[in-house]
Amino acid sequence: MIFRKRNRADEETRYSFGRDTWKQFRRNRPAYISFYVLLFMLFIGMFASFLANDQPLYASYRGKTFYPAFAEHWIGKSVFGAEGVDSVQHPVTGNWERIQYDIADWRALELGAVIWPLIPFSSSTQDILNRDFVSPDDEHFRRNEKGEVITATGKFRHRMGTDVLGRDVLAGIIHGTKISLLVGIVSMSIALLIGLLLGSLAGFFGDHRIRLSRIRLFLLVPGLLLAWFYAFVLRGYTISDAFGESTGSGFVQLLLSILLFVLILMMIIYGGKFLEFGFFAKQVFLPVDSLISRGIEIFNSMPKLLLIITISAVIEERSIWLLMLIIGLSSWTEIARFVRAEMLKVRELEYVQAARSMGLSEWRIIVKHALPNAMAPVFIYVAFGIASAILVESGLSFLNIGVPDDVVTWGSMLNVGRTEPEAWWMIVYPGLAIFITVTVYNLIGEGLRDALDPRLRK
Amino acid sequence: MDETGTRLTYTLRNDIKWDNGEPFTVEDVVFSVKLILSPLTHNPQAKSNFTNSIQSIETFPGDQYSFVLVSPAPLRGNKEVMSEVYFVQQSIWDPKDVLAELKFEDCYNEKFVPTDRLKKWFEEFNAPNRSKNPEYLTGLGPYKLIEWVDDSYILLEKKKNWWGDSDTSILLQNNPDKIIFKIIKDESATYFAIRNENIDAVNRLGMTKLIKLQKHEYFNASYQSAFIDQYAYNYLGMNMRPDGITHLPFFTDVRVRRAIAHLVPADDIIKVMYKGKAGRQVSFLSSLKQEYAHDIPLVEWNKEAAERLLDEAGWKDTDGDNIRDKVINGEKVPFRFRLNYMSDAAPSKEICLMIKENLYKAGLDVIPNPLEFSLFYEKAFTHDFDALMGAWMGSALYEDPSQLWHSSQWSNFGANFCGFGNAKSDSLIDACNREMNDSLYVVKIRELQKMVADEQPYVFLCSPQARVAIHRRFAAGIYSEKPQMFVNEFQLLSGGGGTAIKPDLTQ
Amino acid sequence: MMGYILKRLLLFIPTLFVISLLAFIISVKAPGDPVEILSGSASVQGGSTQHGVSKSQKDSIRLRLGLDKPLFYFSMTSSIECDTLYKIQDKKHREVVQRLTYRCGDWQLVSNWYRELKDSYEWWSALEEADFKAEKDSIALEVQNAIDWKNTGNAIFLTMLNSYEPKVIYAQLDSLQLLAGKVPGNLLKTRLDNLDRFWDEMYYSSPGFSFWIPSFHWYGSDNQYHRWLSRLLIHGDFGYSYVDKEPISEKIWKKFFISFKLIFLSVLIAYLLSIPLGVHAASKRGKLSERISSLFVFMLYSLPNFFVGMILLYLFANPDFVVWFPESGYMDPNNYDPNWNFLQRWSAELPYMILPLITYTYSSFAFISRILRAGMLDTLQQDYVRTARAKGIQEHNVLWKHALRNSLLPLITMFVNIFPMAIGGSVIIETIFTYPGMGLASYEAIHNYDYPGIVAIFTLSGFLTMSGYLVADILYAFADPRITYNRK
Repeated sequence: MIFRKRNRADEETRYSFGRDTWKQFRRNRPAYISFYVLLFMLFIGMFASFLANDQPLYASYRGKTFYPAFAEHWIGKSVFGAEGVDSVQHPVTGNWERIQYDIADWRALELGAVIWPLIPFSSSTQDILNRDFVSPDDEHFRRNEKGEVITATGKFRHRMGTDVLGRDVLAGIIHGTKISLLVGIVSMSIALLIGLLLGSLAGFFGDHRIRLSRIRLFLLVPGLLLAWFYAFVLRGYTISDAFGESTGSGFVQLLLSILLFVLILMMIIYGGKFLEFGFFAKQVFLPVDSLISRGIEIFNSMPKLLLIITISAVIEERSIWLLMLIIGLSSWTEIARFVRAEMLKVRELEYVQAARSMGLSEWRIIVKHALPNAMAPVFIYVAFGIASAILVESGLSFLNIGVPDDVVTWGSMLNVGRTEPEAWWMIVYPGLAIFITVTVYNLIGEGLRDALDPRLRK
Repeated sequence: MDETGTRLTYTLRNDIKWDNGEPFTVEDVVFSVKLILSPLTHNPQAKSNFTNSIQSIETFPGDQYSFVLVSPAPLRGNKEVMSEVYFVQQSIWDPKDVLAELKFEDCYNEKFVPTDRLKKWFEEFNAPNRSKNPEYLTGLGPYKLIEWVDDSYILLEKKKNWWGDSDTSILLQNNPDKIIFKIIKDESATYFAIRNENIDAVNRLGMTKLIKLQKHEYFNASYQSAFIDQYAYNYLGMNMRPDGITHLPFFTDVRVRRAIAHLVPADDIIKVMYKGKAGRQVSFLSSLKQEYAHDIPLVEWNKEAAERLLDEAGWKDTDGDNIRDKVINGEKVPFRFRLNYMSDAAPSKEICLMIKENLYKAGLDVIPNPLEFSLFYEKAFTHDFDALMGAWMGSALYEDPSQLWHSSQWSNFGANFCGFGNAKSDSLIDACNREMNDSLYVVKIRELQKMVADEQPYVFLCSPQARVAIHRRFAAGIYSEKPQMFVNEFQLLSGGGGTAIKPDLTQ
Repeated sequence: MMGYILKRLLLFIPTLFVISLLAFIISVKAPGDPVEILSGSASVQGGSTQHGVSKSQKDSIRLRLGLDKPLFYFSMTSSIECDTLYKIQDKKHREVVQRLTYRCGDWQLVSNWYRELKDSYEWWSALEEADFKAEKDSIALEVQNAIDWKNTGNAIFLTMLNSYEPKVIYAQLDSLQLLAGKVPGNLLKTRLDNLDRFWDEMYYSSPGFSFWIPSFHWYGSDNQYHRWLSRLLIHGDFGYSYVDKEPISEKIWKKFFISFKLIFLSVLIAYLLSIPLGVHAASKRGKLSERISSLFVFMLYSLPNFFVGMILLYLFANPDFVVWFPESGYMDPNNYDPNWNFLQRWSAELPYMILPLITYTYSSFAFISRILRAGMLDTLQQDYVRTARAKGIQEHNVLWKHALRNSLLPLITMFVNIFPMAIGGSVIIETIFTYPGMGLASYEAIHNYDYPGIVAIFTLSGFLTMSGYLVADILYAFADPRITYNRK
């Protein structure tokens, strides 16, 4: 499988395991089809701004060529050298005309040659001629190069209608695909990270494998407090200021604080080495498994959906990234529980026992041997997790919580449809989009489960 | 009223009775006013409406039905202040007359120390369990509260043998036997409810909903409905006096504010979001009022003029990213500001997006910033905003302009959010408030309106019309004043007598 | 067994502690000052607005809410910080002082500056026009000037009180200087000099090493959290709502039962439907009918409930299509009699429940039948089932008697989950159908920043979730004698 570097020795077995799973997976028709649907959606998501954009992909105007749709993308700057603004000289009068890509009315310019994207609208363009919930079957209008209002045909129709401001629903759906996929993938990556870490710690070390001197155990209490103090109390304003500036720098500061926290804690625990004498030197077990398991239980007892709604509602700065973080932070328990159980199994396996007897370090055993084994089934949970993360996100934007108002998502389109029941296209299309995406992920998860479960194989 | 304008003498009707048959007397008036003014009552917001106009109530010994309202200064608002007092029955709330210990002077004395008896009484009075209890909510009106179910409905029933039954004045009409205020918080649910004829009267219908309803034959057959002008307007306010650090001086220049006014597509907003059912105005008074300054021209949408003004003010796009910028304190600042608005005020989001689109085409970037109601106002009061979109609801009564425009209302974190005002405008406001002569008052208030329009702290977006629908089972009128109808006068035209009506209070 | 239950009950304590703490932290850290919410929000409805809520009124609210107390049992701060910082009552001012302390490293200096600033502000705003005149000066004084000066001064002081950025402070000090030049006499000068001096003292000192030394303060039980917790534990009192100032416990219980009825019914129906389907799916595994029904169930499971809810609403409560059910509420106040008996009440409320019920049911139905199918497949592989088959027991009996009994185990967990679901899962559905239950209440509490309400809902649903798990575990043990909770 693709998840890690393989060394030659187990290439053979691993490969056949992967191939076997794939074979099983393919047998499950719905899951197999879903996989390709997912690939297709990934494609839409990745190229959303080239598929639906109100600026042409390519246009020539008064002897100059433009690649406006690429200007905001990194491709635009590096490949086409597009800067977002250009000036054109009128051939007769010699006047310079300034063309600002994103506000220029490309439809009104007399373009020599032009290639429009598949859907020549972007999710935020307000089409003044087709405002106020134009149905897909209604007559649509557009302005031609001469400025006359004509009936729009073909590409220039809003195939899925528009909303009150004249924003194209199909463009919104395409843009929403990107956001939904991002939400699913990013939040589950966060959950996966936490789940794997805690789950494997709990499962592999259990209650009786980590031995600490008493002094270190005692030092843990002031250590936690101190680490909290340095990482979060003193840096509290730094973090909140950074979040005020931008979500990105906020994340960076938060991550720094977490690192600092871990570092200080480790330093203090290692410092305990110098105090190991007499009573304090006595070795005791650190019940990692119990601690983490209880933690998971406590976490599971929390009303998670409520928690997510509340936190996203009280955060002043609405941001889709923060939403992903919150969803990710609240959905790691399933994975952790599963990884723990899997680890408990794995550590009794012969080859892990053998590795240990060969003197390999515990950490190395986890990362190199135990984890990869547990990895494949984890992806069942990841697939289901992505599905529910997408549901949560669209539910939140349906309630108009946490998602910025100028970002078009599936849920926010449904929210508009809710106040405007006659505009069925605002309900049906985004609803179907959510439904299909969630189904696809769920089917893949189910397919993976069937494929990986040896008992269900035939 | 006497010549000084500070003493108003009132005489009460002597046939008004409380529910238990006791007469409504001066004692109840004094008790109610004291309750409002008392520093111990938990009503900080209600109190402030009265402190300007009420200093004390003087009674005549032996006369149970007349009293004198003493005001601190001769203000236009004095005449109307008593109409806003909610009367409370003293014999139910305070049978032992504990409140006699509280003097009117004490209410204005910051250092007042209440007696223990008073403290104890107020503790009970402020207890929340009484606020919706029918036993305590007695009144003088023709209806009494039967049941109040949270988030669901409020049930009122007609009193038997009400004192006003014999009267024929319109204000004392009480035709329906039972009134149910249904609380529906969702716009489309309200729509369906009225389509299903589940409610008889509604005063907060969505704009598009009523238009759609009026297109239906059966709706018009069973409901009378109307769009009606009301004393309310939406505005976009700009921070004229930002601190310069947390909020940059975008709108300190009147030219920038005027440019924004030129760029905001008010007519478009009215057309798209209000379907034409809104009027434009240029001042803070409703154009329904006769003192409205009709001679001030509307600010038209004009991109070229706006761009010129912005250029003049020094905002130019120097780096080709389409966003205008300017060097302030040695730093290049792009014109990118947050527009605050209330997240659950219906079309705010769309209006903001329309403004954003128009401003972006002129090189200004708007970041929509929806905020929850109380947070929105907290930020507005503390000047913690770049620009904001809000709405004011007025009334036919006298509106004191100092609340919105006096500069002390800015410096004391009051409702003058934007920082409008100088010594000249302040003195004009005071003059308006003290002017008892109507025609002179009109001249002065118009001058003030002109001043506000010139300074452009607000872009006056529009004044949306109220949407009212009343079932044709009832004969009833529709009014400009909130809540656009007078439930008591509803008269059942056909059908049995016991049918209830259900006005809807969509929140 | 008892030991196990006891252990689980013990786990309640840390869990509830964590949940309540979390909710408490959210309510403290989230934007919006409760005092402002309580004193200000209602005043802005309508044009007749006055924000003239006096300081003493705000203080009385603060005192009533206990906001003048420290937050928690202890605090851990930098040693340069003043340990009575919590006594500064305004949230914003507290932040300003703390930031200034971090910057300069000596809270004494900050306190000098801040006290002077506050005094100056109070002194200035208490000045009367006559005070300006009293100063002997050659400039003829106009009343308007005095008002103007006062306002400008007020604004300057207020801005300084609310800011910690040196840039802002310097700018304000400059404008104060300007004002002092205009105001006759030496009214402002001495104040300004003091302010300048204190600011410079503060600005040019920097936090030394002591900034890095933590100091630990123990406040004891007289703190906000303890106050809240003890009221909850002793009186079952969650405090009062910020929105309508009503006792929360009462409000929540009422709403809880409205939601609970709905969810209980929905789960019941879901079970009745899904058990036959699950058994069918397991028995016909791999056959076409099973594959189609599985796929169908799967798609049901993936349908977002808000989508389904909306569609149902627009199909069955919309006069454009059919009006079979009412569109909102949970009963008709028009013909509702409080003296009705149980049955009458139910039949009156039923029409209101049907659409939300379907929305709830279809997803739990799909979920349950999926679990059941998996469980059944698992059991059918077991030896004893094979033995049963080998013994010649009818397939029907094998399925319904032997396999099903054991596959029901996971469903027990599902069944007890309805308690927490009554709170958390219903937010969206109840919002769509304006069904005034727990979900709508929590949505509104969150929307209105009604923190006591939020904390209460959190704690309650945490408690219910855990009780649910406990009950599930006990039922497990009864249902399956193989499971013991004693030590392995």
